[in-house]
Amino acid sequence: MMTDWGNGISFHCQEMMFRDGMAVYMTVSASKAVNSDSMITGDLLQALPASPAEQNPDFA
Amino acid sequence: MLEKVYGLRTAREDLSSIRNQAIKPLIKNAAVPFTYIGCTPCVGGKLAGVQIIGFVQTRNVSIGTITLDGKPVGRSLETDSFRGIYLSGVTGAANKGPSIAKHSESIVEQCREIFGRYGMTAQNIVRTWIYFPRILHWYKRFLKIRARFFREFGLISDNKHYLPASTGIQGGGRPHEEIFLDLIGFAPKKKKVGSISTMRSERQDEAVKYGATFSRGMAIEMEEASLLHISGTASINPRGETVYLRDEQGQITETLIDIGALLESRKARLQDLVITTAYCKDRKTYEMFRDVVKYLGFDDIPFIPVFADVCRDNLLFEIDGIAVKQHEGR
Repeated sequence: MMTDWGNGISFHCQEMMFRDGMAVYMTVSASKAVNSDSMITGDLLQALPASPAEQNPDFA
Repeated sequence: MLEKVYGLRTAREDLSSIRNQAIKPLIKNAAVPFTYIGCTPCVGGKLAGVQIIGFVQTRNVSIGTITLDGKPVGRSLETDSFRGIYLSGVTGAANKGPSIAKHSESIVEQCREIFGRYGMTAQNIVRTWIYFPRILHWYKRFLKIRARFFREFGLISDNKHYLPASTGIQGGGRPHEEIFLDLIGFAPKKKKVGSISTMRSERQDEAVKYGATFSRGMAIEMEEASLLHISGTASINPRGETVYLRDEQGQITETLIDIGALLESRKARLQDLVITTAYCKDRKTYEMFRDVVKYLGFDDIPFIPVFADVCRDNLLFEIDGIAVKQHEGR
């Protein structure tokens, strides 16, 4: 499911469970022109902790 | 494991710096490499998007950084069941001069050294992405070079072939880079863990029959899930001819149907795509693609649309991707 952050950035995350653990496939995509560096930084920082990194500090 | 950032070629330094800042607090090793693909975002602005393949590290999963001459070039993964390597932005640009042959040879040598360290061979390659700033200039020459290497590695012989899934597309790199490569290698440790096989579709014959040495897709089938690597797919018929010339809608729908057929062969569908890039030749093609996505209800597929030349000048559109199909009850 694509989640729209309301500011031109959308986020998609899909987990895949397998015998030894979990793989994660993530996309952060711009749905409108992203020009400001602070917006990119802010939105990436906002989006990425929603990933398993938040729950698991060993996310790689 | 693998991270691709799509953005303006001129914004490479800025976006790389922002990415490094963003990732620092999240993972222990900030030297994790990534691939920067220089392109024009279809939506405008500097950044088109970021794609990440990650693994959650547990006691059964060990992850490391692959270096070459002290520089990080990829990530390695070792579990009880399999070993994987993920290479990012391998380049032969140290060779001066715009020679696709020299750059390619250098990339092959680097890959060979890395495979050797991890007990792998070319037979373990499941996926490559090959980016060229000047694809229309080099692609025909590159096809011959790749075929020669694959023949040397035993991936092609007179009566059989085993070819990885691949995308060959326009993507801007660092100055003097004529080609750069991302690659995934996979080696099961136990036979029962998973099987790797090439994907075939009723709608498009094998690309090797018209001289392009890649498979339409590679499937890693595990007990719990199927991981389907879909090669760069465009509006090409089983004879390898471009169809729907100068017809944006025709090429886009043909491409989507071709990928749908490929996925259907493994009981998956377009909505199972979890990583996917849509390469549009021009604005008219992008606007048509945007409409097709809206009208067919594909808004939840995480396409990153970018402007790029495809491998033939008459191809207006291409999609590649990775689909995940978790099996019932898992």
